[in-house]
Amino acid sequence: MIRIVTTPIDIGEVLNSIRDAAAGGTALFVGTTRNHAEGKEVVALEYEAYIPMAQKVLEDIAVAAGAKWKTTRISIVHRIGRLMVGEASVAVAVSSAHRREAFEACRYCIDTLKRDAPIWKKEHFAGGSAWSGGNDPPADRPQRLGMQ
Amino acid sequence: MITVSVELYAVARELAGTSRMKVAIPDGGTTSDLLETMSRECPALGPWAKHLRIAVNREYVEAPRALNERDEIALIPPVSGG
Repeated sequence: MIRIVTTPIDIGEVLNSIRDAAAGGTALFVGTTRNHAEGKEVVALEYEAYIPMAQKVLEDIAVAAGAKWKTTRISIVHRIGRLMVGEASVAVAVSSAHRREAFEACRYCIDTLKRDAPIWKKEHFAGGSAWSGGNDPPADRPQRLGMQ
Repeated sequence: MITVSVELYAVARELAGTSRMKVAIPDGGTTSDLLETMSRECPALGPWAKHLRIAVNREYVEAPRALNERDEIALIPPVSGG
């Protein structure tokens, strides 16, 4: 199941979608919206997607993961729209005969999604909002001291 | 000249003030020509130009590629999904 949704992600449904008698294990990653970013308190987040391409990219990621590891099933669901802190923005579930493949494929899917999917997050703070990574182009950003 | 239709997302959309732009480029114009033209017509996009990826027909295009009027084109600012 590969979906872009606008309503709360049903984790039970995601887990059900990768059930298989041949699977001995399931790895599930759920990304949730945290209450801080760039040292500021986040009150809400908005996700936007170039939906048809995001759908295609997520499908391609699942196919690539299935080719790299011996997995049974893979589901990826990403939510877009406005989310409150603590809500799930993404779920990746992978089932496989053995746990090693499930863990590795699951990690690959979320890492690759974060790198390649045409999806954007906007963080709403008490005093304003900013696209994740900033409202200014990367080179123009003021230098930051210390860890991100 | 040909006219291509470009979808803008996220910060690109906010800076351009629109989610869709029609842009005229020369026949055989490429994705590079498109970015140059869009930066001229919409100076707010200029500082972002080298950080914008272009997707043509739902695939990222890394090297300059000739465009035609029926291509589905999108400007992709740095992504932050997941």
